Amino acid sequence: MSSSKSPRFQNLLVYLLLLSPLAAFATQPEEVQSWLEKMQRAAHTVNYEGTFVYGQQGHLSSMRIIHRVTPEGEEQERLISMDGTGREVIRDGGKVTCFLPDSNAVVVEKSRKLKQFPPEFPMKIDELKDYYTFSLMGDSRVAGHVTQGIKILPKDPYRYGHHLWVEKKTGLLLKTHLLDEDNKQIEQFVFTQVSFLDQVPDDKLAPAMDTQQFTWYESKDKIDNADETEPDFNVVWLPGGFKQDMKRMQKMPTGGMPVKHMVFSDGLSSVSIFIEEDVQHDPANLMGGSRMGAINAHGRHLGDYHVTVVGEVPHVTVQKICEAISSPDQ
Amino acid sequence: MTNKIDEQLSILVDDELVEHDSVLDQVTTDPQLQARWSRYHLMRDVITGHMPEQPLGDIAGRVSLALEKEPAILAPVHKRKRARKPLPFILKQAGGLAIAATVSAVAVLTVQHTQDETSNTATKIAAVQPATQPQTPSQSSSQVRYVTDTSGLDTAVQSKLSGYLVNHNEYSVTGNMQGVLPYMRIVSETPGKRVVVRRANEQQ
Repeated sequence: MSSSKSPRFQNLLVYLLLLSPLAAFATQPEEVQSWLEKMQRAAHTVNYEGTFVYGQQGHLSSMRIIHRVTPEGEEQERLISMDGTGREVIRDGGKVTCFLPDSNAVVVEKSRKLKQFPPEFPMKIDELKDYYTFSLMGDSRVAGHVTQGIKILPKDPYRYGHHLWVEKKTGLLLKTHLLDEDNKQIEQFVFTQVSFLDQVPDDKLAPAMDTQQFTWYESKDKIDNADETEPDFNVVWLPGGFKQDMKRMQKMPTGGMPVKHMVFSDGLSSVSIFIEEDVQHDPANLMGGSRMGAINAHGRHLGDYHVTVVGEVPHVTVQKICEAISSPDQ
Repeated sequence: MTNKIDEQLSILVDDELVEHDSVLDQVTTDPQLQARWSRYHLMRDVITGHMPEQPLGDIAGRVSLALEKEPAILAPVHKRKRARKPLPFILKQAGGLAIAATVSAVAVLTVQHTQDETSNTATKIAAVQPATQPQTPSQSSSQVRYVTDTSGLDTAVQSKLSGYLVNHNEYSVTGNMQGVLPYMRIVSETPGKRVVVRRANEQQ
């Protein structure tokens, strides 16, 4: 007995030695975490005005943005398209107004109530390190400001990678690249000019167009109650780290059948599953895959139901999830 | 007592324990011991080099995972239970994006996998192609509809999918993290595409 103890003690030492690289890793994720938290806070608390370029699927568009936070913590934002017909979106707290000169229309929609600040940071690097590699890049300049670069790369083919450039003083996100499974950029966003402001005058947040001839549309509130009598569907496969965020029943704005909506997320990207009754196999339901920039969708029949999966993840992910849904009576 | 069972466990892992029935009994009934049991196995595997295909980083990850699962020592059970809350902030913050998302969704949603050369994976389970005849959903609701007049997708499919995209965007974490992104997806206009907004009951 006692003779076997000393090798075992050695084993323990080896084990401790193996753990020591963990300690070396530990400082970096914390640093990345605090940068990401700073970035998220800044997105909702900093007053700024700037011009950025947004590109996806080979299209580039240039936009101007003005962002203000009231002393009560309410966010106000005006986004103006610099090309095309000059669409504008103005967000004032929970109200979003969309000015569409190309259709002579103004669309007003209420959003969910904003909760108090500071927001809880949803992403925990500790929980994500099995699925992503986080690293800090060197400093570089974006629109004349010094930024901290952050690289977030997936360890499996089920999610996208992110390159982020965060302004060092304020934490505002000044540039992003979204990378697909082949490391190709599928979405880019970069500020070409940005200034941080103490005060933002009201007129900067007013629409620049004459809306007298426009038709105003106001959308109805959505039904948000989950109907517990609906059968439960099983999702038997999800990428690692994906957990359920939300479940609800709702009517789509286009009317029709109530839709079961579930959201799953790993903290960096999310996937929605929509299930509705479809005994007649309505041809308006998506069959197979479809994509919109970084967002992929996949649909199929499931008995008397139709399933559509939508998410800012590679197509293989929405497809696998879609195929992994089984109805309760199976 | 704990030390004794620890030691026995350790010997058991090394296959050196002769009388092991009582230890096994305890292991099968005590979750804490089970955790330790698997941790010892992992340590043994690591030490004896029985995990050759695993890079060092993953071993460390597995070790730490095993450690996390050791409830009494490193991670109190109650803490782990509430480790991840539903992402409440997203629900409130992303709310305002519906319209924006709608507009952009309709404008850009034209590339369908089933119609290009990358169709292989996409069509595996899609034996039925979307109907080629656009179908106008009949309804009397006066709610706002967003429809595009140019598309690679069937209009009805596109319209329905747009609704899904809007709803997805409202709950997407990307918007929460990066603030401005969902809005750009809105205002961004794809050249050559025009978004038509009309009332459902004004159709036809």
